[in-house]
Amino acid sequence: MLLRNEWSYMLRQPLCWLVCIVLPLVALLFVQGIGGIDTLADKRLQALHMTLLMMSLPLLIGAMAPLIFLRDRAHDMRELIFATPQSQFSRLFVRFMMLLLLSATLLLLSFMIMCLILTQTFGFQWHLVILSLWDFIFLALPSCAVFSALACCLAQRFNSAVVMYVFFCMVWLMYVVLASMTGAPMLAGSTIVSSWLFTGMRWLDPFGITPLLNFYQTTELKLYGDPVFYVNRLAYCFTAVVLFFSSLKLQAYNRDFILPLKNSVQTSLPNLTYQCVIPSPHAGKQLLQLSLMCLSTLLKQRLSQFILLIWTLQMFNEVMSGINYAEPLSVIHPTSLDALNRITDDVLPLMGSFLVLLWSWQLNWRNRHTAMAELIATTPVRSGILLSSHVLALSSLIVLLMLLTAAATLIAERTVGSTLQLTQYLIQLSTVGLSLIVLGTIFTALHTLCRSPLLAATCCVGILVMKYTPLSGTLGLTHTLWNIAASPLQPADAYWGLEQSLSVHFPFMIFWLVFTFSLLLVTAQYSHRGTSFKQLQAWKIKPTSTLMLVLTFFLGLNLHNNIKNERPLMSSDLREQWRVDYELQYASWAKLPQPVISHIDAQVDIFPHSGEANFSLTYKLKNATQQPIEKILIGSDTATPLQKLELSAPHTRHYDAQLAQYVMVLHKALDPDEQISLKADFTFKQPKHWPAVMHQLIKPSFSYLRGAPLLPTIGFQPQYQLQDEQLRQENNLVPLRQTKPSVLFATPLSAASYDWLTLHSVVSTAADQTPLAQGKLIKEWQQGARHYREYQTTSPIRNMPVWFSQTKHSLQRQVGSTILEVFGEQNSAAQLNLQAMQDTLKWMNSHIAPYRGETLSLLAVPDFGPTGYALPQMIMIGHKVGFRAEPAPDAGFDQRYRRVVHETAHQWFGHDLGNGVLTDKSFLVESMAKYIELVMLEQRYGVDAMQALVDYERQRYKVDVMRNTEQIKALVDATESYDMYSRATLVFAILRDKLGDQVICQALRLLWQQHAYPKSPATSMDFVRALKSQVDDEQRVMVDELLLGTNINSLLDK
Amino acid sequence: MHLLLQIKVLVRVQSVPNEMLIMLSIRHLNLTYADGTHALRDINLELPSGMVGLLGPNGAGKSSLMRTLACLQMPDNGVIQLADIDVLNNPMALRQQLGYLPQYFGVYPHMSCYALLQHMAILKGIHNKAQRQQQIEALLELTNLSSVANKNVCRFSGGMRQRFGIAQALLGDPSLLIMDEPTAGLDPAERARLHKILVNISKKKLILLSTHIVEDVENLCPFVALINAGKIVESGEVQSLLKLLQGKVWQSTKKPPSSVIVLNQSYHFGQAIYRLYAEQQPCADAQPVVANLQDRYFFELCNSGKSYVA
Repeated sequence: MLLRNEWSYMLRQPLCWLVCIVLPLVALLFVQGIGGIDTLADKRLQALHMTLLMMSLPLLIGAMAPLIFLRDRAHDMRELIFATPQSQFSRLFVRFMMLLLLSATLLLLSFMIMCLILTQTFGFQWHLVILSLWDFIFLALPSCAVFSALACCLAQRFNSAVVMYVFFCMVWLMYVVLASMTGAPMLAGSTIVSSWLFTGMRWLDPFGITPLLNFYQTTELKLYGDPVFYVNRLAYCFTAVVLFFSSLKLQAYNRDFILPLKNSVQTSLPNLTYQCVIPSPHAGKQLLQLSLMCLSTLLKQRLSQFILLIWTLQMFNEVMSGINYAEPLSVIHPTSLDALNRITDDVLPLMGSFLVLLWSWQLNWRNRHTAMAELIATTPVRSGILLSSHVLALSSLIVLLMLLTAAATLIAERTVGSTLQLTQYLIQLSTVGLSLIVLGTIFTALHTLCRSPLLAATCCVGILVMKYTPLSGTLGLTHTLWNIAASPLQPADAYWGLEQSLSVHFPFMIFWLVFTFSLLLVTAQYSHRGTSFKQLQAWKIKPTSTLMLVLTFFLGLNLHNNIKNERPLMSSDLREQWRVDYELQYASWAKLPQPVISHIDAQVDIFPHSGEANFSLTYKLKNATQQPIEKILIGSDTATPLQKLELSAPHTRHYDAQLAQYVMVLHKALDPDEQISLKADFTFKQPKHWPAVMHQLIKPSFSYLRGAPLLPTIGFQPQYQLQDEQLRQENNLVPLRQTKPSVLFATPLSAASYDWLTLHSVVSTAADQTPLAQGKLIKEWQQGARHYREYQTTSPIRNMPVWFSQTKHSLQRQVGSTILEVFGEQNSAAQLNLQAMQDTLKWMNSHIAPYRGETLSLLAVPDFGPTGYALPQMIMIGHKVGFRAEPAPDAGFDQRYRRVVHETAHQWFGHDLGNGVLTDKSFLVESMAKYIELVMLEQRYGVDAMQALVDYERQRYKVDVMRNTEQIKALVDATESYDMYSRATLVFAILRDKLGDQVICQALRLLWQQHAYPKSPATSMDFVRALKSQVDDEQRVMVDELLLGTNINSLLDK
Repeated sequence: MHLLLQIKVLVRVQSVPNEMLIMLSIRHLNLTYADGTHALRDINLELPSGMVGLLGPNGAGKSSLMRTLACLQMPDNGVIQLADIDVLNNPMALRQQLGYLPQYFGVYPHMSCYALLQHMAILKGIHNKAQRQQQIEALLELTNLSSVANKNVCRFSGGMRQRFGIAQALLGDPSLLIMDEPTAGLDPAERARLHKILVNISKKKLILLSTHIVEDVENLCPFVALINAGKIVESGEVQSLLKLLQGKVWQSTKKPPSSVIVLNQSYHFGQAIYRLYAEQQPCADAQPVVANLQDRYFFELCNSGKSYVA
């Protein structure tokens, strides 16, 4: 009866309905994008249940608990309720049960929704339903019980909704941090930082997730737990009971019944006179008074003081914990930039946003909560001043937050002896601070406009959800303006500071500032002045507001157009549609004979300071087929239109502007072996409204221009086809039916061919920079304040031309006929990188095949992409990991050396063999480079260093296997990076141990003999065959198991 | 005085005696809440300076009217004119002349009575420190709060808090004082004290007193408006409102026949006393009495079907 009574109360609460809608929606959101047919449905389902549980339960309880436990106090019903003939036990028990049942029911519903969605992909399976029920009973129910009991205790002790909100938010945050430190597969980047912590969490995890994750590391899943799991769950059920009974004895920390002051009794009526004072309202003084009052009220709160203290400690901890972190097993000597980078990109804006949410809510509804709203609203203070006082107070709090952050960071820096850069503090903290102020102002405006606190809070939370969760992406809202009150500013790095995206920051922030100002103007006009009473008569906007709204609209439109013009295929949907249209329109060209590019003459003039590069290209096109070619398909980059396109043969041209494709119908067909030339001119402009990204960027201190997809292409480009079968089906494209390489290349392939060419480049840049291109340096000169270099490849290279302009000096070494160059700081790291290049080159030359080029250059590059990337004759290494870092004291090997070896090895694995067969996976490229890492580490540093790498990769692999919900594939078929890298390392460690390097090298030499350019390209299976040809039957079985098998247990056990 | 000097156009209307100047004029005021409740229905009212009582039962629309007059909420339509101020189009001008005491209000925590009054004074535009201090001290004296001036207001009893509310409403020089149930929670001595203050200051101001305590209105207000179900059922000088009942109100200690209109049933030392409305003596026990405002109030309630029954 009591429970029904409680339920009838809950039914009338809008928050309850909101939660009932939101949680199933979140469940739906989580279950989106489940994998393909290789996915392990049950493991995936349990991981989804776990994710929903850990991500939602603390927030759910935090939101609902005040509604259930603190309603008497919030609505002055305490005395009425306490006077009813109901014991404290029954009152609390009913409310506890209500919270428990509500949260549990919602979770059960959400679990079942997830199960239902999964069954749509995998078909109905009873065991998925049973697993959902089991997860609900053993994972969700005890967790709901313990959190509900905890809420009961907090309500009894603190009597404050804010304490409840903050506590459960912190529980949520702390668990997410702990989960990321115990390798929770649902959190990106999580890893087991300590086995002690993991073991501890197995016993103590309040959600019971870690004991189950323990079995995710093996291929034999135990989705239904082990004794440790059941002990954990039982213990938490018991804890819930204990907590509930403890709550009965708890006394409120802040009593509600305050002893009133003694009234001063005065029976006589003295001669009273009223003295009036003529007021003269002054906006400035009112604003100051209101702002100071808001600020002091908030700062006087214990909760705010506690939050600020925790904030400072958290920032200190965050900076200290990774100030010198470069990558695993690698450290740097830190500067202020590194210290601030620890927090300014994620922790500071994220946690800051939550605080801004809390404070804006407290500030804006403070008058209503203290029932002062009507008194304040009737004073002669303009609504704009009331609004501005909240904005000013909130901004002051944000400034205080930034100052505390600066203090915490500074102390951390002094503690570790970091190099101080005070300007970094100013730049980075003001950037984050401004964004938070704009966000806080928008929140304030929403609170001022919405008469319902719940509606206002929902809008504000919605903004945060759009900003910080993948929801916007899932909804297809990928426009950069959906990151409300922020810009796509990328973290600063020591190479080029904020150069990567500073040009983007200002247009976005100017827009948001104008938008916010307009919003404030409108809001001031329609403010409810904190009373929540109806204010609007009609939408009559003042001329100033109208003007500002118009200005905002045009600014937004202009920004949008700039964004769109600079990158027409700005969203994934547009890119997907482009690919679909391209395939539908031009797939037939795949069967038509097309010429190949045999040579490119390139004149590339890079202007680093204006962000432009002029290309003037001359292609030599050769008909390498046996048929005459009547028409040629020439593709160009959608964002970089061609200014000139000339074919040396007479032709008729058709241009498809939508797909940027030219069809050249030759008046006279191109005969076999006949050549023609194609001239193309275009200008690449660095987008100013997008951060500089791979693989084309021009910035004052570094420019990188990879040919693909900038340069015109010849013929149909199969790599543009949509690869995802589901997407293809949705777009009515014929299935690709991609077969695994182990099956597809079970017999040797003969149809494929290499796409190689010779390249001649004249590349120029600003006088103080060095232009770089592939090939041998023929000539170098200065002309008209520009620096010119001429390069020529003496033999064909893979069709991946690239040009650079950079500012660093070079370190050179001649190894045989090859010149090795390192462009970067001239420090010991550069020497080590050069050494790694030299070691790899020598070993590969002598054991596998000679290097084909005359030079091999390595460049230090800003941290804007992968830490290492190789192109023919060019290697890019991240500045931080390659030139600033050094091995950590506990590192068993040098990551810098390993990385350079890996990228150098790609000159053979990737740019010599391993290209030409689009349908092959990455085994011959990435996995083989891992083999070379093992060999070179052992050769340079000894067996222990090599073994340290194996141990490191094994550890990484265990975590990734735990996270994996896909069926294990054979190594040659693998597409996941942890297979291509970590598993490959473990496999080759075994192969080296069992077969020896001699055998593997012999197989590789055989591979080169049979497949090196210009013969038919090699596939992964060609290597397997070559290796098996070198070993006996027993070893062949082992090779099959390791390279073609799917049992990985032997790799995980040490 | 300054307000009267500012008045450019003074309108003389029928409901206000010729010698009285209209200070607040309300025309065709309607207010509907989001849930559809029509709280104010075509309110037309013209009020002179001095003390004006707004009488009505619970839920009649008194607070809605007060809040609308204080520009806390916007009506659906209508016009409110305070002297020469078009209130709805220029709420700031009204706020500069407004003292407001709502029915329920709270206070900021951790703030003394003096500090909170100071805060309100600054918001009201009293920026001269000496003047501010002087007025606050005088108001504290006036409301008998001087001895607790430095104590936290949140620790005040209900009556003390109500006096604080009155003090803050009197800050500055309000020409329109809107007081919603100002005597609620006050003991008799404080009530008398407040009455004295209000009578003293009402000469050059319009004090709109909303209450359902008829006695307060009767004691203080020469002008009264009766509101029921969102409508003004009657307004005018108290004496003129009572004219209708003169000679028709009777008092009896015996229960009258059911045909007689019972204006009110009260008790005196546990003995029932009936106030009756009749042209002739309704029963033998009935004695003629002088009609008072309470009789008129209950008479209007009778008309709307909310009267006490015998």
